[in-house]
Amino acid sequence: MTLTPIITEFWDDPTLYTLDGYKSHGGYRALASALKQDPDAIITTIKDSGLRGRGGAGFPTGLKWSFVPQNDGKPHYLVVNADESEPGACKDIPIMMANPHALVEGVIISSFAIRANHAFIYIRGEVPEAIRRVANAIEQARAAGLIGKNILGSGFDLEVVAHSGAGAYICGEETALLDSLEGFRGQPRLKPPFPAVAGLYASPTVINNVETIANIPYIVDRGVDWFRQFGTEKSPGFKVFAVSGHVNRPGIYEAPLGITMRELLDYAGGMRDAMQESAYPVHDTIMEGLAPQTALLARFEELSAAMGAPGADLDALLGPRLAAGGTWPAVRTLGLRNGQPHFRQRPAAHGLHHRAPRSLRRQPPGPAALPAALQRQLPQ
Amino acid sequence: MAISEATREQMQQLAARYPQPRSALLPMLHLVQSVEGEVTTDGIEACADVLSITPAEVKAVSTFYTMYKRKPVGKHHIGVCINTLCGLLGGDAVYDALSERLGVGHDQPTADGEFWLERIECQAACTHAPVMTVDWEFMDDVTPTSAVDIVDRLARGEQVASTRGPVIRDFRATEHTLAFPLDGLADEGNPVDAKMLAGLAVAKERGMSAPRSTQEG
Repeated sequence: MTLTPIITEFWDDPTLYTLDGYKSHGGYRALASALKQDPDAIITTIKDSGLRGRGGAGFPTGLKWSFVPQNDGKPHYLVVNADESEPGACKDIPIMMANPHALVEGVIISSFAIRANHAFIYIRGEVPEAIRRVANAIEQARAAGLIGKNILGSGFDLEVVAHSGAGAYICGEETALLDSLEGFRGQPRLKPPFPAVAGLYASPTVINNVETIANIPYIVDRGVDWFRQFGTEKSPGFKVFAVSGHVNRPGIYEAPLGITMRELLDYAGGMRDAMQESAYPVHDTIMEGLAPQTALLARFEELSAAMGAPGADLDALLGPRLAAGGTWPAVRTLGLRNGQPHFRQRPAAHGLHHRAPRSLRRQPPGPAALPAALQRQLPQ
Repeated sequence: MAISEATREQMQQLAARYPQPRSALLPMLHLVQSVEGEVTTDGIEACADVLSITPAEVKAVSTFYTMYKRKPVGKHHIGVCINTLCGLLGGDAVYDALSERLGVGHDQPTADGEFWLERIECQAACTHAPVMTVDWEFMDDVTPTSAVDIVDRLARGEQVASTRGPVIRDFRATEHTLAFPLDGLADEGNPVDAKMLAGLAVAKERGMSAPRSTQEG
């Protein structure tokens, strides 16, 4: 399967992060066309596209949007979850730094579709470069009349705020994120009610991942049939994969869903040294080794079947000694989760924690030493 | 130190960005750290005053989030990611080298008020592991030697640039950016590096691209 740079297509243009740069590659064309449509027609387009959330749960995006009650007299909100902090997942931060206008254009179109006049992009505080580039994009869009009152003469009003978090892994969980955005400790809420009915300020709220929203302009601009030619029947489209670990060329690779781990690994230059035959893919959300099934497909439905939840990204490829007995990544990841009150996050709770040996569940603070076998693999 | 009238006005500006003012509390506490170098009692009281909530409520929030400190951070905040991918690729060794160089452990300031060392969890840059941050700006692909060198250069007052961001300022300046992100630095430095372009480079090399229109069949 070939690589398909779409969101990443023009990342080598150093002006892409500016309004002019983004527009020179067709940016904001989708917005102009979207604002001439009925909001419901856009929801239908996204439903038909089969786009599934890129933040971990893989929920169908159009369906999520359609849960927002209409004509209920309450304000609606769009909240973008940009609190990327799961070990192994690192694709949203690069999108925000390289192509922030794709996110901003997606936010405007999505807000129009769900009839929200206020959108928030909740970015983790530890990445000021992503925050300043998104804020800069919002400001440029506002100055060009793409955000604010009566956008492009459509009568649609929208305010967008780039909001900084302050260091809390749990806030990647959507209801904890909402509490945090309301100015409280980031504690998860019980569901129901679901955010689509009672989310931010107890009003109907759609929460989507950065990459999900960055897909929207491309789908609206190029159409459902175009989108569905990528990926599989149940997981249409493409995905920004961040390949990391013991590979020769770690980095960002964009490919259709359905690509195999083996193919991604080949594009990333293979495993270091003689690790080829026992690469050990680690699934970020649950941090459970999928290995040694290196032919495993990066498809939501198969990951759901294998893991219980598909995860945001599939990318960390570790060497064979970990596969052999390696609890080390599990221990380190548990260290993160034990450090803060994270266990109420469902994906974390039903994943690693429950699968790890009981003795590993309560690691003392501070990291366990890297096993000697792995020490030898460090760059000298 | 008492919070100035100008800072209170900035707090009001932050509160006005949101349908409900309390949503501004996290950015307001970043603003407090930008003028105080930590979350002080004066800062907590000013936030409470502006939002018409109690200081206890503000404090309860400030203690939940790891970026808020209750001791003076000093000039530069140094973070070293030791989570899974960075740890595997040498983050622990980087942390140990810096801990030895600075003579302090996790979440501690140096005696001279120049540095604060922190073992940080996943920084969402596993492709660039092991990762260090200076005042939360990325310093990617470090080694124990290069990390100590960065700290040495900062200690000598030399200019150090982030690998994917602007020239390093100081902790307070970054905290101000987190409250008011339009800091005029979006054009400085290019955060899109070779690793972020890795897939695009392979695609170009092999003549791969995504079709722009719908293909038949």
